[in-house]
Amino acid sequence: MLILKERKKFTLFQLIVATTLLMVFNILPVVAEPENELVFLTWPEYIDPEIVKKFEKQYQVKVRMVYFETDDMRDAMLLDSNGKGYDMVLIVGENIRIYNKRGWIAPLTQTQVPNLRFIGKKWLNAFEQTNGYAVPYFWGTLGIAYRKDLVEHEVTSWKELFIPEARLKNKILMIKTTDDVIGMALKALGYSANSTNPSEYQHVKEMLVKQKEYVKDFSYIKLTEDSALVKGDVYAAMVYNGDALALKELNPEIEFVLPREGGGLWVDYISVMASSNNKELAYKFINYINEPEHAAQIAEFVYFPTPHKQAEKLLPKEFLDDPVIYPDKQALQGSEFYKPLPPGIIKLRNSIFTTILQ
Amino acid sequence: MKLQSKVIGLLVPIVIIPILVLGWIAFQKLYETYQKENIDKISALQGQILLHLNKTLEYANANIKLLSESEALIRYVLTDDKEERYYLMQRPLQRKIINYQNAYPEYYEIRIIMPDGYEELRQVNKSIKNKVEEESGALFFKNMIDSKKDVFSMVTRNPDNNEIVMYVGKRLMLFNRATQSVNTIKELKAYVVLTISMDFLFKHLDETKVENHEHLLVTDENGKIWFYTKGDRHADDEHHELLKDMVGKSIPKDIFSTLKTHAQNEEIFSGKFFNEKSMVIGKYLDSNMYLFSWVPNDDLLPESNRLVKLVAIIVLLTIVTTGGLIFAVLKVFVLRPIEKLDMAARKICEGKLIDEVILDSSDEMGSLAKTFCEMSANVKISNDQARHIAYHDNLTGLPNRLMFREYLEHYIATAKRKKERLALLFLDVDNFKWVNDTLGHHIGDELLKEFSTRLDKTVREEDYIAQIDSINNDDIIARLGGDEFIILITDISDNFVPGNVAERILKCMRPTFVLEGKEVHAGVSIGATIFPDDGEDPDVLIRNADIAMYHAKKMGKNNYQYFSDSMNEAVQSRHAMEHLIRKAIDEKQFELYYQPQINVRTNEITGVEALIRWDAPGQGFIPPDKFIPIAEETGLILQIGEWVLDEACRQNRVWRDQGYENIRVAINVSSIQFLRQDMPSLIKHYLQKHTLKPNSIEIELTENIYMHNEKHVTNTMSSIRNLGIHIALDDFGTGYSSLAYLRRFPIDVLKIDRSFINEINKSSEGEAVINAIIRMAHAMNLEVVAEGVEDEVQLRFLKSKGCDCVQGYYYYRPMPAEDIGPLLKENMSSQPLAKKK
Repeated sequence: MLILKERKKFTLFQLIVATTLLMVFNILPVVAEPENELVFLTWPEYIDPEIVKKFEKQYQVKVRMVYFETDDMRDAMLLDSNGKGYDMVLIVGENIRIYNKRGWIAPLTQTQVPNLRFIGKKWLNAFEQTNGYAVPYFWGTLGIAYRKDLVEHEVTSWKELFIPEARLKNKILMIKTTDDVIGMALKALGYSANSTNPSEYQHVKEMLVKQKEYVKDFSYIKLTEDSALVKGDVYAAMVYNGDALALKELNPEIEFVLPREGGGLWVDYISVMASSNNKELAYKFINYINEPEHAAQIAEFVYFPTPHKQAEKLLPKEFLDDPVIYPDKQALQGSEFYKPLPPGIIKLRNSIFTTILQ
Repeated sequence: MKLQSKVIGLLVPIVIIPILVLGWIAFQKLYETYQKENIDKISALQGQILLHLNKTLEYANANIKLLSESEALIRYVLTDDKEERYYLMQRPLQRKIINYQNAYPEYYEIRIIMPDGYEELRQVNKSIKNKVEEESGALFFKNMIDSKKDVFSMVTRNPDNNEIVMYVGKRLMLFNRATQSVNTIKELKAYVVLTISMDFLFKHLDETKVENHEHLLVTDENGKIWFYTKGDRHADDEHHELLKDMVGKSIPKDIFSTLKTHAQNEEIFSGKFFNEKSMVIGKYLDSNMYLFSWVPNDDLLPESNRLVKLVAIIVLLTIVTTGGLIFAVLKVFVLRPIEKLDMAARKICEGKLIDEVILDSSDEMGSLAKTFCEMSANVKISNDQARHIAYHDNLTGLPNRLMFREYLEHYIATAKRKKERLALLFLDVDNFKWVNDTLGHHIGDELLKEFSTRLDKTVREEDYIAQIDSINNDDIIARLGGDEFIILITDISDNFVPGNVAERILKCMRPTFVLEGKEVHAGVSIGATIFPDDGEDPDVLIRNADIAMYHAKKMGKNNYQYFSDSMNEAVQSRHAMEHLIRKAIDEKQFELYYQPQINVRTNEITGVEALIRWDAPGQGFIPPDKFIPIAEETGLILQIGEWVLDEACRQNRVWRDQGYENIRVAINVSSIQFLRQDMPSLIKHYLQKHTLKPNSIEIELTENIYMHNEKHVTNTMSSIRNLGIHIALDDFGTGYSSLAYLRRFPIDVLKIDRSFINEINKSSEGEAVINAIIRMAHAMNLEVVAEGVEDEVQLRFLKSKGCDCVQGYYYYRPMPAEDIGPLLKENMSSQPLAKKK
């Protein structure tokens, strides 16, 4: 017992040392960063590399991509470096206000990014404090991608993911993001994704505890050949709509559905970090990818609907008609943007999610 | 009371009482030791528990410090904006805490509590509902605020789940990085609180319960029971109904304060506890907890019973083995020797000799036993001496009258049973009175001594002349008193034996007795009686012998007389006969007659038997059966026998010289002669003297030869046969006729006695016997000669049965030698033998 304790203690000590070291390392690149390099913290597979290459060539610069897996993870990464070490960050809409609060992001107006003018007003003002600090990149829905050959029937409801049938045991992949999981769970139970009623959260918690044995992992699905859904290791997963199409390219048995309860509506923005020493170049990069042709090319690459009005015009009809990319009005009716919530509710959601993750 | 019972009676108090006392003391000591061990064990356990608890606390302190220093936590508490905290920082912090909890699952609740008591973050690794987020009112929180310690710990009840937990809390004192300069003092930003399940301790206590029989209680500082585990000995549930649901109850205030005082002073409480006489050992554990080990006295009963049993068994075994051993030792070394000595003493009392070793030990008992043996031997010697004195004559050492009477009675009884004859000789020294009176008593005594010596020597002397005269060792010589002696001769063969013995005695007394230089002549008068002829009663026999002795005195002393007149007469005639025989030998009055033996098949004379004939002058013809026995008794037979051998051989030579070469002369040899003389040499001598071949003679022996030394007889017979001389067995069927003898003794011819031949034509049985004898003899390759054949019927019968030769009046009577010659001449001319008759 005594020995075991000491060992544990030591383990903990190591853990702390390791954490400290990690923090130090996260700071180190900031110091060593060369002038002509842009660091972009973003989702993987979320930009056409061709465009990036062209930009690098044109501006004689190196764009280094740093990827995060989920929104929560990005928050943690930025917290650990205190918002330093990155030039540009891809931020989900509802977080922009908080980031701004922390003073992490620099102002971003038409002055710095002239192509901002092509973006629809609706998207610019979709969340608090987005206008003036961020450029909408893509919007989309959160739904279910599944293997129709393995599930063997059409999926239409969140319930099928949260209260799954027996065959899905250990075959579900959930996103490791608090708002997505808690929000969609609320929707599965017929509540609002932005519920402020603690008793509704209690139901959510109970449901998620029961669901846990069906969940293979909490992360975000890979969009490459060895993706679990492509290989069939999982049968269903929470997926953003565009990614589902990317996966379908790899395996045609994959279907995407925006459940009948409606899904999560999201908008991704790009901001320039306040701590960036290369803000001008960053603005140029944002402006570059918002050139209408570039924006259209990227949209076709990622299969997400673009908020870029000019680019939209350049996109082919089948792209615009694809219901996965552009859900019809009815499907969108029940879908919700994530709204700011009272701290107590956030705390509750955090608490539930960590309980589930344990 | 026997000694053995006394010994046992002694052993009981000597052995049992000390062992019982020892057993009691041992029990007391063992029980004390047991209790002490118990207390030590309990103390050790309590120490261990305290150590365990302290270690846990120590680790918690260290860990909470580490956690407090984590960047994520510090950043979190330094962020005032709730949205930022919850949106951005809470999740990473939660993950960090989860990692902590994964490493330390016993920190099942980790909380960040704001200075105002608001529960900012709560991470639990088991599902517990959080009742309140406001901790400001909670007992622990209040205590923590009041505490001056940086890290504060407390054990109390968790209001959320009513569980007993240990809270470990740490203030987070920080500089506000954003708004405050380095010089400002640190500000209390939050508390980090670990909730540690007390399961680790209670589990530990539960585990210890397995091997301990005390009850364990953990209480708070007010005596409220948080934990209770029942001792394994406490089986009597019914009686201890109140022990149920102990948790939550409180120990009565007064007792608890006493217990607390005892615990602080590290003393043991003894007294009533929950209505039971008990022993309670208390220990203050940190974090306002008390641990009590409660041992009700009743719970120690099984152990004390076990000890009682154990001690009882050991005591019992010790008593049995020690008692048994002591008793056995006493038995072997004292009691049994005493018994043996007692038996030996009894034997000595009975006058028996103890010849074996009574005790084979070298101790005092052994020495006593040896003394007993010596004593017994001495007693025996004294007894024997007394006995000897009582039964023997002092002067001569011979048995006295008393002893003789006993012997006589004994031998008469034996003789009656065996149908034997006995003889008594009563002796009286002639003129003893005269010797006594004139030469003095001591000369008389010397005379008697010398007399008895000669008597003894003579009586015991073996008589080789005639076996029948020999005196057995059983024969007794006794002195009846004064100058009277008596001799008992057992198993006499005939009535002449006592006379012969008497004669030898008379002869041995004839030489002068030389006593102290004086020559004394002492004759003896002897009287003889014979049992049963002269009386069957000892006294009658002795009296009659005495009478016969007086008769001898009257007859002129120095002679012997039988009690019966007929015997006296018989002795007289024997003496006369002996005298005649001597004369006959001297004057050559004996002559030999010969009786031919005829082969039945050829009717030829094959041989003649030499027969002695005595025609005494003035007496007429005396038949051999009248004088031969006397000649044998007196030894005169040797001279007669040798003359017969010489004469027969001489006559044989004469016949041979006359041309009768085939004649064979059968010569009778007396058993006495056969045994006493070297017959083979004697025969050889006379054959040579008369230049005869061995086959010209035949030796005839009678059956009584077999009564004597068989080996000597057989050897002699073989030697004779080896000379080439035939041996014939005479008078077969009259004596010890036995097949066994026939087979064992080397003979050639069997002569059937005339008494059988007489039976022919008279009894079929006699005929059958003859038939059997002939068949048997032939079967053994013996020649058969029938004696005393007197008529033709007999001859015919014998012939028909295959008899080889006959001899008898039917052919020829014995006749002088000169008459045989013509017969032989006739025989040689092969003419059939004419009947002489």
